[in-house]
Amino acid sequence: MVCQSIKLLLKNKSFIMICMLLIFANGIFQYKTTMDDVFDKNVYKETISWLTDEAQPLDSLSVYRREILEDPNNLRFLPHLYQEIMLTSELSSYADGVLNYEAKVEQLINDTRARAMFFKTEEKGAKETTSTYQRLLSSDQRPTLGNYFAFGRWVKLGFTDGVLCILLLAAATFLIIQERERGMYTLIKTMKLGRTRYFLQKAATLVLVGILASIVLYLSSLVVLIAMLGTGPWSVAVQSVPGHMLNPFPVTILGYATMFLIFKIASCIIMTLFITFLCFLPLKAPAIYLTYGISMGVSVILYYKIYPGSTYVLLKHINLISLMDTAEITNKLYYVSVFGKQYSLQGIMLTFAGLFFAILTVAGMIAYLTYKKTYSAAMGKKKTRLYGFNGFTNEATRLLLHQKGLLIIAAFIMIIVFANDFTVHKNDLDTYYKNAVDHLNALDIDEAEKWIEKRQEELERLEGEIISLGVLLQEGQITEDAYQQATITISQQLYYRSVVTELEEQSVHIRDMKESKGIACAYLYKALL
Amino acid sequence: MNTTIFALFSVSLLAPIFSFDRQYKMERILGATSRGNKYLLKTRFRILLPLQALMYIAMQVIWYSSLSYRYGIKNISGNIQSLPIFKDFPIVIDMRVMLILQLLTGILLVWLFCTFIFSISIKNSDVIQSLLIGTIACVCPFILAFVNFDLAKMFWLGPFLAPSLLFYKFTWPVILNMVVMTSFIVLFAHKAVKDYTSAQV
Amino acid sequence: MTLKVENINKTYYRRRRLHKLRSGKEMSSPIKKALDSVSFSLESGIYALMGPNGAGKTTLINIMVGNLKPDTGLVSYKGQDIFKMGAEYRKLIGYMPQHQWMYENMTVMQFLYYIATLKDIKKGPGGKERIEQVLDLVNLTQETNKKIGALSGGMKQRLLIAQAILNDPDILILDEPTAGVDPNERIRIKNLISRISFNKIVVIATHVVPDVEYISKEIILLKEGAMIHKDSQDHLTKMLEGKVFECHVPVDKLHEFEKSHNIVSMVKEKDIVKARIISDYQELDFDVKELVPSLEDVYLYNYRSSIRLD
Repeated sequence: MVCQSIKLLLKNKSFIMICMLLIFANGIFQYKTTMDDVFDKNVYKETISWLTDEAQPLDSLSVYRREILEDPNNLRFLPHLYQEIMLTSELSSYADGVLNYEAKVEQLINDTRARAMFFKTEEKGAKETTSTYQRLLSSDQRPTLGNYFAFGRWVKLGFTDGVLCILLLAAATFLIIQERERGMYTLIKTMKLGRTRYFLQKAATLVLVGILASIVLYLSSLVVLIAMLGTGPWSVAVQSVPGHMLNPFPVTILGYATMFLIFKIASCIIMTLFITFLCFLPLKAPAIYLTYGISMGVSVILYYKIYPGSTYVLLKHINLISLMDTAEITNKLYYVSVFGKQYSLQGIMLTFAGLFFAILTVAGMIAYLTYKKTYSAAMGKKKTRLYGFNGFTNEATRLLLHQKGLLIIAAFIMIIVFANDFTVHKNDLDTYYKNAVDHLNALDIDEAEKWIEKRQEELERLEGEIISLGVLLQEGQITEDAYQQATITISQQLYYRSVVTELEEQSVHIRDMKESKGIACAYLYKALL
Repeated sequence: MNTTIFALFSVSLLAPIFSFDRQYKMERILGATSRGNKYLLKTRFRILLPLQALMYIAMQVIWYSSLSYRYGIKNISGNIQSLPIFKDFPIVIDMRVMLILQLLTGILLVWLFCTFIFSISIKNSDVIQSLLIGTIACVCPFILAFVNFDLAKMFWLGPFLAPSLLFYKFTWPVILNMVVMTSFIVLFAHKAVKDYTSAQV
Repeated sequence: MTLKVENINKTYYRRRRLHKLRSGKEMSSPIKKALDSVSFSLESGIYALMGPNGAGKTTLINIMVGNLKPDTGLVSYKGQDIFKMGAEYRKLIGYMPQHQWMYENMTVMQFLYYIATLKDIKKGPGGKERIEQVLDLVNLTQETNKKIGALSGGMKQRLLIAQAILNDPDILILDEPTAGVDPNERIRIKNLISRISFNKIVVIATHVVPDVEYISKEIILLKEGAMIHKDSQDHLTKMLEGKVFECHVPVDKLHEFEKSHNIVSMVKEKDIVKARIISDYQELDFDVKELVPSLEDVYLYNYRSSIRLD
């Protein structure tokens, strides 16, 4: 019967179209965000390939950084100095973590013990952390340098989780909600033997669809990422992956990937049961979708807005979104304080997942067995006035009231208002741009150009500072740490270069306009476009 | 982003209009009345087009308001050539006129887009399919822009969702695209309406 | 007033083959020939359009209503092609579809106002009165503010009839008006139809014989898209004279008897089964009594494939 349901679902053209659209959108999103983040899709392949050939990768990185500071035209991987510096910093940090792994872990153990001596409530966590990492150190498991940036991105795919949730809802619509709306349950409920079996069949079908969807979505994302960024061998320790150095599991990357997929499937099963439970509540279809949307919305808010040190930190970790964020619970040891006692996050999540699973299964069954037709009666109270002999008003009434047009319009207005940023300053670049434009509009063109020239001189001076610092580092007059700190601070100021360049282009344009067309011009925000 | 949200809401409002009647077989009762064909079609058009125009204007007003909070829109009486992107615009007009022109063009294009969604609704007898096809039509320009599929971008619904493109990218591929897509939409709508009114739906 | 159906043909094809048909090429394997050269003429009175499921009743009705165009043939009213008349023809018809699909969120009154507007019933006291009159006729006055989704099956059928007669049509077409209703409701609907049918052409498509027995002027029988008979009930039953019998069959011979005879009904009495059969030839092996044929016998005779021939 489960196979029959799946066959029926796969024959449904609308469902297939939804699946194809979602899988395609997921792939496109992964592609686009990766391109935005890494600038060049071959960069990690090339840099890691170069680093693994070097005898002393960290030293080679330092040398290379000094070279590019002295001669910014000699960049190997990316077109701009600033981007190259950020890349080398990222690689430095990654290589340092891998090559000095033992020292880092021992440092972590010592820091944890020290904290526990000071904060008595953290004793339990400290003890368990220490023993876990000591076991890891005593094993043969050591990270190796490799191109695992694709894998690192893969385990943090929030968008794919969202796509999966939508796909599950679509499957539930076609499998359960549509049948329910057509009155199928009235028939099923007359068969005593059919009820429970029908519920289990529907739940099982949805779970199977969820599992298949998870596998397809995550594997397709992985394929896209590997095709773009490449990958090294997966038989090495999972601690070789950027961001996973403190992963407590003594497994290979392949082992971790399997574990990750299993956890994802488990969380998908729980989501599926949640949706099944919702579908069997005595609500109409739009109410079910709304409830689902609200549940997900609340979970998002709880997960992203509650900070780790907050009193309500437990709520951060026991909601639908936290269940889906498998990487968070598997790539490090994390302890949560609940009423003065420490509990491991993994333990909390497993307990929550288990409880949720049990509650949903039972609740879903109860909802199903006590299912009553949704309340659709209602005597209309003087609704006659809304309709008359005018076709225009009748159609308008039907569209706005009975086809929920007003609701759609209200939702649209709300979303447009919230999608547009009404805060005065969006980010530092915006702030700088706005202030600069305000200032320049008060000056005449010659003074404005002088101001811009002055800004450019300042930026060039700052770039010179970086070179000087590099020389000082080479001469041993400053430490590596001091150099890193100073470089980062100066790079943050160089961040505004794009604004200054744009304003310079605008001044050239304004001067051209004044000379060629003699029209009154002013600096204007690009936003008007 | 605003135009994509607008397009998706247009789809959610328009796509079910005729599909709902067909899916629930109401079109049999409606088709048997004297005003259930052309009159009903015209009336629905007469309601939805002004509604869409109003929604579009509301969206633009909200957007401009948010911009004026973030940046402060100033010197709107300046000439359009003040913006580098319009430096080669052939006509010297001020920004207010440009904004109004963009708004009016936007409304016309939105009406064309709505006609397209309307036609999809007429041709489909399943509400979910109509919604899906409409959503794909909205999302396609987005996806094409991502993948830089230049040939496909020659014929896409992008300008209908972002009319300002027509003003600062007034090149022959854009004009060709507009002509082709407008002709396609008009022909498709004509066919859909003809089938609807001549009992072949 | 005459409604003429002349040589109507309608075949359903797969979508892609439809394009070939428009270019004039013959199709080699259509899905179904729904109507095959159907022709008849209707004057005022009640006509029953009968046939089993898939006979073509709904297709024919959709063509007569103007919802579907035939492949070939003509439907004319007072000499004019109904497709050319368009809205003018639709002003004169009232149609009740087979299924109870309506806007469930609307109340009864709202729905009737909505349909009244589409039927070009003008604003004013006359319009409102007409709606109230129709509600009274179908006995739904107490349910005017109830949502359609909350109505029972019988009430929905009555509402469908109400919307059909709202514009006092010259031609009333009802597709299975008593489907899914209880016997009381069925009688009520049947009497209502008789009452409103004065000086109208009323076509009732049904396969429930008692619905149209005694009230219809003529019965049109459709079989696999073709019209096999169009005649009054009396003539049709006369055709079956000498073919309807009551046989007394011993129980042990019943099984064999069933295989070779068209049995309409059976009643068991001790060791004998009284079977009402339709047969072209008088059965000589058992006790036989000739019976007066009924409309149901006519229906079964025309739509049962196995008839014993000696």
